[in-house]
Amino acid sequence: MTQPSNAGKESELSTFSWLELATGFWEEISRILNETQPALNDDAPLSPDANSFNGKFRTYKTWETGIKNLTSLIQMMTRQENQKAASDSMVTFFELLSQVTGDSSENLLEFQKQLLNSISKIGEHTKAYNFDDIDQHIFESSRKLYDSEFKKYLYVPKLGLSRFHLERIAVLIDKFNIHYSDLSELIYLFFVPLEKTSRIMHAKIDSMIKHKDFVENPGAFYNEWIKMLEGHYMKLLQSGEYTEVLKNTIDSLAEYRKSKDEVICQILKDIPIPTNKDMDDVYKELYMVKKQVKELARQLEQINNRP
Amino acid sequence: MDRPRIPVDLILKNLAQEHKTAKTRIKKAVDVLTNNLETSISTTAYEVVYTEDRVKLKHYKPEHIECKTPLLIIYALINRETMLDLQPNRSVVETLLKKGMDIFMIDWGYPSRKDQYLTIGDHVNGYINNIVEFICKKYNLPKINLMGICMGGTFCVIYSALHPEKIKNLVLTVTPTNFDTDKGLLNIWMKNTDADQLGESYGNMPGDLMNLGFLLLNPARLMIDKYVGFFKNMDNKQFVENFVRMEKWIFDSPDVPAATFKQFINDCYKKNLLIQNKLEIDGTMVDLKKITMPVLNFYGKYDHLVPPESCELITHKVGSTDTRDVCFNTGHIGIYVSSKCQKEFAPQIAGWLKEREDNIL
Repeated sequence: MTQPSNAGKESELSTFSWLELATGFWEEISRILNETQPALNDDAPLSPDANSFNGKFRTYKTWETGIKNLTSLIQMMTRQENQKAASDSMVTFFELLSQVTGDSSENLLEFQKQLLNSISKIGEHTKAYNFDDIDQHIFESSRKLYDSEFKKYLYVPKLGLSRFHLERIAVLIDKFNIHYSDLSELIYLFFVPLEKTSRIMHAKIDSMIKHKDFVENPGAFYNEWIKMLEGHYMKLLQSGEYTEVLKNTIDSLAEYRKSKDEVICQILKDIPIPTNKDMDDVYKELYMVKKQVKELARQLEQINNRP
Repeated sequence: MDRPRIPVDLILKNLAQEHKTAKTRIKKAVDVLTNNLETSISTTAYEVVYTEDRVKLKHYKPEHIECKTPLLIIYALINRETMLDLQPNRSVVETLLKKGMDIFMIDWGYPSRKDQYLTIGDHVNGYINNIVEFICKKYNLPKINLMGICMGGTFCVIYSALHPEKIKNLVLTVTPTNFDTDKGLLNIWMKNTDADQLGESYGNMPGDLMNLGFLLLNPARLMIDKYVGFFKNMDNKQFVENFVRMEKWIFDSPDVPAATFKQFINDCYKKNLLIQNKLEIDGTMVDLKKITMPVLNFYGKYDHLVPPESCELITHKVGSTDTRDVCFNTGHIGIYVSSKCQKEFAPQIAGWLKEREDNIL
């Protein structure tokens, strides 16, 4: 059996000292509340308009109960015979906490690193009609971070009466986040040609000034700028990266709309308004019936036209 | 002393001149924009002779009929047929009427959510067939001439293959039939579009979303340069009127029924079934060899939506021996509205149809 280290013992002692301090703090809070709110005491007269709960406000009562439970729990944990078990559980809890936060911190650090990399690229030299250096890693990293660190909390199993609705709301939040991320990436990509063209034009003007070879007509600059911008867009819009980002954005928009409609349908269910789903069912039936009637009419006409 | 190579004086002079011109232009533009502008589109007189659900059939009567067989024009489900009659003196309909053509044109209307289940088959074997039969009955003719525009042309190809006995001559304009090409952004993007998912979430494919897609095909020209051009000419009443007419047409986009959109993307753009004779409509295979009537096929060399590669294969795949390809040095819309094409496009159609008319009146 391994002996606990001195550092571990010190940590235990300081934890229990803190717990005793916390008990004192919450007991004091409870006492102050009782003294400063005489109307809330059990023996105080009932307030006619108050949201009464055996002579006490419901909110206060809930607070008081909560504080009492907390102090009891802390007192129980600080008892000599429970200290060992509480200490072990806390170690496990802190280990778990540190593992979770450790993973998240690592991912956050990675994301931060990517962000810094992207920022450092601003102002770097750019080549005309070349999109090899598009830096989309920042979006990829934020997506990975979202998938690994945030998304999972949305899909924690929902319990109880509202489970069905909560699940749909969680899906809606998730789909919105995904679409927002895709849309941001698309907008970012869409502005790359503008940024690139401006930088190249700026370099051109610099070069013209340097070589003392200037265009007299300002309109000629615009013509060159728009031509270059068009060229950059043509190059970008045909690229595989753009096609993929566009596809992802459209797909995620469709999924977001679907999940939004599901939530709205749930809300509308309790209101006497037909939902799109209800109407779609009716439209489908109408479509099928019309088709059958037309076919029957055609067959009837054929029969009537027979000699 | 030599003149300096950076003509700062000239640059400043030009800038000052530009500023002065812009100021005068804005002053005049206020007058132009606040006075009465004639910006109506589709002004040629017509009569609605048939309606079915949201679909209407417009009949344009010429002063003198020179071609006995009427011409049915089928526009795409994207944007509206008003493009063929944008303004007087720049109207395909007007030119065809002047050439003595008796014209019928389908107005697909604005599909609502209830139309989302309508398939290509419902459009081709339903609406188009009913209209063709209506015209045949009205004129007591076994066949009529058919002309299709873009996606409407694809419908015409399908219809002519499924009902060849009802079509005398087939005119295709900027009609995509071969989708196995990476020329044109639309081909690239559509192959990556999940049409099923879009259909499920939107019901119908929203016209505004499609328009946004078209703008994104050339954002520098369509979202910036076009309006810079407008700013430069907004003191010119005629320019403003024409510009507004075009804007009215471009941003008048009905939604496309979801089932049709899905079928068009999946079977045509993704699987390219039509040109391979593998497309199935309402349980029947579309066999292009059954298109035995004369075929006239127009397309634009610089069409960025339906590139020549998408259009030119059809004349080699049909069963007809009387086919002709005509390629204009223009884009997707220029073929109908550019001044140069106005002089050639509609007159060529009228001439070609008259050549194949048994009874020229």
